[in-house]
Amino acid sequence: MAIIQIQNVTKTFRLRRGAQTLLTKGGLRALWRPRERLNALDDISFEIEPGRSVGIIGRNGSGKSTLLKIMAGVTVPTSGSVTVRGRLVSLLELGAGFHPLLTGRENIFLNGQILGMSRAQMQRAFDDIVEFSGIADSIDNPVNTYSSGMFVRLGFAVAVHTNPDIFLVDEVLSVGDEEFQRRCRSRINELRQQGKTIVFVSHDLNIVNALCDDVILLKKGQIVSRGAPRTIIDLYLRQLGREISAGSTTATFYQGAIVLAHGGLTITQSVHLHTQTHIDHMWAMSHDMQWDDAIVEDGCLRATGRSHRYPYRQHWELRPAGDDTFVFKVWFEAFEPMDIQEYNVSLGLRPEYTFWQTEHASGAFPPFDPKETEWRHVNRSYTSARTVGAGGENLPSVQIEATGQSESFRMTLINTGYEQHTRVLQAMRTPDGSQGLHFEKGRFLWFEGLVRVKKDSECSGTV
Amino acid sequence: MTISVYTDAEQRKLSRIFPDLLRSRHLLLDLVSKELRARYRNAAMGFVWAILQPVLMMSILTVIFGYIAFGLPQRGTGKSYAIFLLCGLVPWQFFSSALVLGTQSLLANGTLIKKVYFPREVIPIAAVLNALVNALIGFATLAIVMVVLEGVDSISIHWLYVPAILGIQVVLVMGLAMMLSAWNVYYHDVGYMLEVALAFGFYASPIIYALPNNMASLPVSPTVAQWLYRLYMLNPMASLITLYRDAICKSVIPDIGLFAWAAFLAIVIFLLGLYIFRRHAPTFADHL
Repeated sequence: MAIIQIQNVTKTFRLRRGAQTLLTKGGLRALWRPRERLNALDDISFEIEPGRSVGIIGRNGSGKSTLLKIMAGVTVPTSGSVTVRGRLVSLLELGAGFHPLLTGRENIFLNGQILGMSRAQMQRAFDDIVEFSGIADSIDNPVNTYSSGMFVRLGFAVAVHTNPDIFLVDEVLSVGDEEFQRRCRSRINELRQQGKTIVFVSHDLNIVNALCDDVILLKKGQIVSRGAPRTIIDLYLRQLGREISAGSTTATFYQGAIVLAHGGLTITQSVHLHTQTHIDHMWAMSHDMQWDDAIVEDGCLRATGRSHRYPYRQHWELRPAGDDTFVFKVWFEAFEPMDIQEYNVSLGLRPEYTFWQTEHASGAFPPFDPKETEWRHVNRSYTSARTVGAGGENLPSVQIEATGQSESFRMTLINTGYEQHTRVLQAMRTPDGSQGLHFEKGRFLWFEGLVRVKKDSECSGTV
Repeated sequence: MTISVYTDAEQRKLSRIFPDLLRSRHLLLDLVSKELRARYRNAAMGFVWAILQPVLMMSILTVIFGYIAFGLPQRGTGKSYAIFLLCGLVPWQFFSSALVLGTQSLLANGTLIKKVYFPREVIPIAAVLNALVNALIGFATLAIVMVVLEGVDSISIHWLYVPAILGIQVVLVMGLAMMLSAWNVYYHDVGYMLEVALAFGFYASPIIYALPNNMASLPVSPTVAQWLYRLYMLNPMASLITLYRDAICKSVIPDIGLFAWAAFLAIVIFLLGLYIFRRHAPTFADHL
């Protein structure tokens, strides 16, 4: 029997009337007019079987969070019914119930009771919670002295130790430091193996892809489709982004990353085609920037993204150049003089890509190490090169070739950490001396090159 | 296995309130005790404030109304006026602080309500119980003040009526707190209105003066006076404070008619509050 049953659920919000509405929309007469209505969920029905982990994706405002709230019982559907068979805990905003002035110890008990546990049950779980959260030293300090990371760790620890049958997870995995995120993810994997039912809502499609058996795509409060993660994510990306094609290869822009697919098969994953910029000893990824909607003009895709942290923008242009080949250009626009240590253009590929080649060397990607959390270089090339490519069985080969610039790039290959499970081809621009790259105010061409996808999987044939 | 069904009608059912509350009684107690501990944690004098507050208020008001101000009826001399005053002040402070805390309680716990399901009644009820703990300290302070000012003999057997009167007041305050906190979620105006209403209520209740029984001293016809009296007694605190005074200051058996009226009013308001709260509780999260 389904552990969660959603039957004909509709959720309607009546937009609220505050002083603002009264002032702007027809004054006091607005009080007599019926309020505007908004259907956040529109007659949705589905079931979740026990032990499955199901992802819910969709744009902002598609009804994801409302659906999660209704499953958690935080709010009720306007019509229809939700049946939950078992204990459910939501990891929505961890530590929401913490009292800032109380100690960690006191909050563990309070939070446990809010989540429906008895005092005795919390007593038994107490040591495990403290151990998992790793804050044994400050357990008797008020939580307002905790760092935000400690706060979230404690919240997560309490939530997972209440031993529910169903977990609702909402963007939790995007908070805290990397180490904590890794622990969270491995803990969630453990929970999956224990046969717990997990429902995810996330913008991070990689996490959805890695952790879900099943994905539901929502659009304007309705279910568009449900199926295997990769199929639904591809559908979503196609729905979202701007798409251009060259031969049987399509490129879809999605918030600072370009997804490549060949003959309907998505060959990139995780970070896809993107850029990374090393400033002040921090790596800034292009998908963390603020991107305008991409536009497609004359078969050419253009997008502009602005850094949240630094005064610069990037302009991307992707233009088809013959069958299965694109010209990719990246401009860097500094609003004031800037120093950058290095930058690169990278392409994240599926793990089925097994061998690689540059013009200097070739080899096989090593397997992913389950203990590895960092990105690891596969080749150590310090000589400049122009091409880097990869291939795999039954996969089209992929190649990046830097063209049209005098600047030299180093072509490297990387295995990401185990969780991301992605092969990366990277064209890295490093400074000639040791003082980094200096840019005056203005717009500079950072990268111009070809991205080639070829049907035959013979890497040597393409390079 | 727990099976939860969430439908609009199910969640708004009144019959669910008591089983829900019964299940969350430990949470309720925990919320109260944690809030109390947290409240005084960062105050150097800690719990002493719970005693100091009513005593200081009493001192100020005794000086103003007992020595300086107008010829209010039955105000008595300095010492007895202080006790008379405290007798009205302690219940009033419970009333006003419980309502202020209660009305804001849902907003104050907004993040929690938006994230986790639990019976929402717990929140305003915990706020009222919090204020009740302070009220108990207030009554203890009142007894000590009586012993200090007028000797041990002034504490009569009629103190035994106080828990019953206090019980009625708790029921009343819980009803009001649920009602006001629910409305306050939709219109924050309720919180502002409450402040004004409490400022008015302080003078509309027999705190600094004695209950003007039957309003005979007013320069109006007896019929009008009778109506004014009834109007005045619609204020539930009027009868409650009078009952407290009967038991504590006058050392007599409290007026049974007044007692019945106060109990009736409290129960009606409580049920109304519960009904209003439960009707809105399932969708609080949408409005916070």
